[in-house]
Amino acid sequence: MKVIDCPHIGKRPMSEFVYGHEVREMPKPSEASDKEWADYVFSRDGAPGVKKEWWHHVPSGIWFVFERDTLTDKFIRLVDIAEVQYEL
Amino acid sequence: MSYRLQEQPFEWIDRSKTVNIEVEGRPMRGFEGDTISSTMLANGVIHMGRSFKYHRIRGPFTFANHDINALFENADKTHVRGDVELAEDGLKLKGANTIGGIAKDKFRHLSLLSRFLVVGFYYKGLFKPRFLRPFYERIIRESAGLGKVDLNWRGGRKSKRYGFCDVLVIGAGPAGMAAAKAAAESGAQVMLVDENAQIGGSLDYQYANDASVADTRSELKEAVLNNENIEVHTSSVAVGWYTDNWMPINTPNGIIKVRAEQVVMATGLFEQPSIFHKNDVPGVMMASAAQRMIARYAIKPCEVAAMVVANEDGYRAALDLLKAGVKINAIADLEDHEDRGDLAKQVKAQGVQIYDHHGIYEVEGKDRVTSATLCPLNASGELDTSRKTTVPCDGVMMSVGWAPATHMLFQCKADIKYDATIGQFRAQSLPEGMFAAGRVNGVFDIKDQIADGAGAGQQAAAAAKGESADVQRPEPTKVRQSHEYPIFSHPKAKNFLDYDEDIQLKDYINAAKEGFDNIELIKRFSTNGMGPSQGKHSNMNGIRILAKHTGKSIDETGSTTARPMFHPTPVGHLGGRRFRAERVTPMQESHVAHKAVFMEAGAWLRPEYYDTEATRTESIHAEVNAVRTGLGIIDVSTLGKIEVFGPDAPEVMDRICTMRMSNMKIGMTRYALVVDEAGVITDDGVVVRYADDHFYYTTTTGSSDPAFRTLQKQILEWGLKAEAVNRTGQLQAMNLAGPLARQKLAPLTDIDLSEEAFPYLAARTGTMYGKPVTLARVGFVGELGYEIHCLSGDAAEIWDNLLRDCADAGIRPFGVEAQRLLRLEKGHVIVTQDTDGLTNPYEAGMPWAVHMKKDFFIGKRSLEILKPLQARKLMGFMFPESYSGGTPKECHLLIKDGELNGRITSVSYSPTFNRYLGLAYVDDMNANVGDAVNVRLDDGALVEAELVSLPFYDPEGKRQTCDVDGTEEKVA
Amino acid sequence: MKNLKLEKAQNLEMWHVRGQAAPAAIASLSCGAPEMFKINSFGDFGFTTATGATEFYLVDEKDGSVAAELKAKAGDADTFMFPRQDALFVLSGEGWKDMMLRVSAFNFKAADDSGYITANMAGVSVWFRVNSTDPNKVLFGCDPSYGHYLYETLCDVIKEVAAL
Repeated sequence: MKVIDCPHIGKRPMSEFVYGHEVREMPKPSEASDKEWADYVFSRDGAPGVKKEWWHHVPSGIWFVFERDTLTDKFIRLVDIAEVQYEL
Repeated sequence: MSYRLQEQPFEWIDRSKTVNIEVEGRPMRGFEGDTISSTMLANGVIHMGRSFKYHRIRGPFTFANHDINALFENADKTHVRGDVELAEDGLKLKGANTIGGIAKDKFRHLSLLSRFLVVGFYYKGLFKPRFLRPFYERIIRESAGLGKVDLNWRGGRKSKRYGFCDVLVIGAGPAGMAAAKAAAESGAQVMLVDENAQIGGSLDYQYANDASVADTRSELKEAVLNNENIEVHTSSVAVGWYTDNWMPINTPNGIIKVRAEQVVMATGLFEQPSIFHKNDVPGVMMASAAQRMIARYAIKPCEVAAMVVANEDGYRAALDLLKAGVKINAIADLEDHEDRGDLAKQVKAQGVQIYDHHGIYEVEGKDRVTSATLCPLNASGELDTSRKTTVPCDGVMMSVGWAPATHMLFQCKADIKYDATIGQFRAQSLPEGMFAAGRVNGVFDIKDQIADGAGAGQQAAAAAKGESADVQRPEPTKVRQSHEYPIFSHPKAKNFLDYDEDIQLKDYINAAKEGFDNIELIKRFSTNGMGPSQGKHSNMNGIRILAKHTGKSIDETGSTTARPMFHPTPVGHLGGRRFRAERVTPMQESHVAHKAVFMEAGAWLRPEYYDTEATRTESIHAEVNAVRTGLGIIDVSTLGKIEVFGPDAPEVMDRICTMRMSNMKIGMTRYALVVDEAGVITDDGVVVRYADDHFYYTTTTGSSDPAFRTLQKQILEWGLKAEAVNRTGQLQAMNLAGPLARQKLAPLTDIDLSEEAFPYLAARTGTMYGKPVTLARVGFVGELGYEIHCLSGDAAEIWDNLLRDCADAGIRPFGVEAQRLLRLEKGHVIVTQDTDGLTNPYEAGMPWAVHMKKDFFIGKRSLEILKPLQARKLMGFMFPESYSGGTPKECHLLIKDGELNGRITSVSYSPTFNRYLGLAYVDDMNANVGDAVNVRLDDGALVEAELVSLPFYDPEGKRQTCDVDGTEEKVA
Repeated sequence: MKNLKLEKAQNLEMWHVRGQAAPAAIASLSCGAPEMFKINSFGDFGFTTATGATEFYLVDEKDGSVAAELKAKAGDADTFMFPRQDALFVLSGEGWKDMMLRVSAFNFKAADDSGYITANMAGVSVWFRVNSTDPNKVLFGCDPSYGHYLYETLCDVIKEVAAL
């Protein structure tokens, strides 16, 4: 099974992780129309490509964000949490 | 007549030790190291089984576990593979696919019906003619399947383990041994795996008489067996390739789950048959099968042989046969023996008649081969049956081609293409982490094989270090090794493509003609390659036939997807040891002592009820009554417990809950509801505020881990200055509930329990029995009660002490079922019981929980959209006390005017009200308290209940102060 | 793997230290400051380690001096000390890393013995700390609710490998 190379904990098998879904930007609720909001809540981009994803390593409790090419299933880089933080 | 030869140089048998087995009641003697098949052959028995469909008599064929002609069963095992399983002293076997024994099998005349058993007949016969269906069904039920399952079998599990190495080499033949040696010498930790009982591979049977490799053989074996950096596993099979070189190896002692930095596949080839009339009669076998018989078990394959060959390997085998004393009456070479090199010359020099451009057309014999008929090939590659040469023989050996064992190369997505020069599929390029060496790589000459292995080993070892090695690898052979089409039709058919499934050439072609002309479809319709051998001796010919029929190239025809497992793997090995983590609370021993009947709640074990009365229901009702009238205590340690603190803690709580939390008073609790982005309820719990920046949040048992990890992620995403700590297992909790709770608890704690000091819904910290505790007055079960939170290490003591110190009050531990009933009488919602995948707070009757004035909380925007769309509501219902109909259950539907009108989410017989009551979704916003609803029971009967207001019990909440107000009756 | 011994560790206390002021408090302890996922050791099994910017663990003997130091500093409102009640075990014996192959996908043989290791063991999240002076001894701990299951399971595995 897939191995993910992480900082601090090294190379770990996928079985030690919980997938936290793609990093998505929440539109400002007060500015989004009902349709735009529903699209954010229910639709996902299923096309393969390079995506930022949340990955949770269960034994250590660490949340990571990685960039992964979902077509080739290759992990490309670790993403700094600051890149995915947002203010309301 | 003894079929046993004199000692062979690399034989696997130990002639000093005999073994005695019984096959179908007949005793047979062999040597230690003999397989079941070789023992039978040594005793002159060539009949090994009956074929799957037509129950044709069968003998040894590949002798390499690439066919199931020799399939047996015994008391312990359903499928014993005679060609590879060792004959052990005392083994008693019978044929796997017979009724009445191999010789007198009841179905042995089935092939007379074969013209009715056309390809796909299982499928077709079940449609029409319908009147024949019972006939088909009976026949199929009796004859289908291979062997009988012993329903009393309690087979053993073999524990799995993990394994790690730098280089995993699969196959310990010449290339594999060379790879392992080279990798180890380059500093790598190596694992070497071979499915055979001994290492050596083809060096020991195909090249047994080749003097030029004598030194290399001993050098390689010694190097491999004596190098402490090479871990050797024999009788072990790599069952599949999974991402990042994750390869399970099935050993006799269980599966090793290996993570290899680099893998070298040196898996070799499967010999392929020529297809001609009666190519399955006992005595017809692969040339390599004969070589294994001779070299490993010193068995003479037959007295007189005929051969059909298309490569040099065939002549090597012929020399081995001649050396073993077999007379060869004819060799049909599908091409020209002059192109086969020196070995062919040697065979000819020994006086063997070689027929160039000839194939075998048919074979005679019922129980054994008696003769073979050769015909010349015409210009279009067909046999010219006007010119026949028939020779007597009792054995026919085929050496017309090979198919590579590329399964795992397909699985790792190597780019595999048909190499028309050699006549086999070969990987053109390999992904990182994977190497191939030897014949599977298209390298045939024995010295090249070894050099190829060594080169691959070096490269793999370097790659494991993140380096590269500059190594010259030999080129693949330029000599054709497999004939393009050694396949010949015959008016009487019985020319088999797949021996496991009894598929004849015409069956396969008819399948293509019926439109199943795609390689994946034709496999499923014809069942070619679907037997236990999974196409090892039939896939390649199948591809050749389909390509020819459709006029496409082999590459265009393609190959079916090779999936794990490479060989069938025992269920007991796949199962291994169970690691099923279980969580228990510190009060476990006490629960057991009090006769708890446990239930699983996720990974937790919780007391469902305590088995103190005559029936389960009576026990649960007794517990409910204890809480309503006296004192009960429940272990709620499984609740999720999360501490949230830091300057932004109030903001965090406001964002995750639907109600405002930041205005909570210190020392108070508040019910918390959590919805997801879609506005759907996901969790609820109670929050205690310890300080301005410190909250203690309990969640439902099942969601503690997901709730915590989601919270961590949210705090990260929002960049807020707050921290969350998951204390679910670190703290324990118990709920002491009942009108006597305050009175009994007060002397046991230093916390002031008076109504003024500690009102309903407040929380206080202090000690009990000298241990730090938090007490919270929460209302879940509807009685005066205190939820006691303490450290794990103190919990059992506090619990035991409470049971002791409150014994005079008649304290009873109560379980999950009683708790569910108690809260139902209060109309309290249980998330995931009374809510489903779509329920929002409005539907669940909790509009008061949604504070839209907050700037933001998760789900707010969605709830704004959903509020006006509400189409159902959760309501309470009651049956009359006199009700005597069937039992109403969860998920029973509400029906109105013949249409669906809702469903029950919770229902129980309430001992407090002496009637059934519960909660249900009513799909009618105009439904009112007092309306009747119709519930459809299991048997379809419609029974009536009444919608009532909630809560059923103590609507004014008087029970929380009943001990100080003087109200003693239970309020119904 | 014949001489493996599994014992419940009795005389240790464990603390989970969080909060904005935690880094300063931890760094000022007499045992020195820990690095991320590395064991900062004292005594056989005592240590501090960092598992986040503001998250630390401390293991000391019961009523040990380092724990006492930390308790004194943590009166500070911004340092939260949570007592950990983990089920603690000591596994000793020469073949313990081989035995780990039976229960964990983590490669202990290739790992740095001075690291604070977190891995899945027999289905449970566990942390490990190899003894400072004896590499054939390892302290490990898990959530208390899994303690009973883990102990029973490991005893079975130890029996199984001893019979090999």
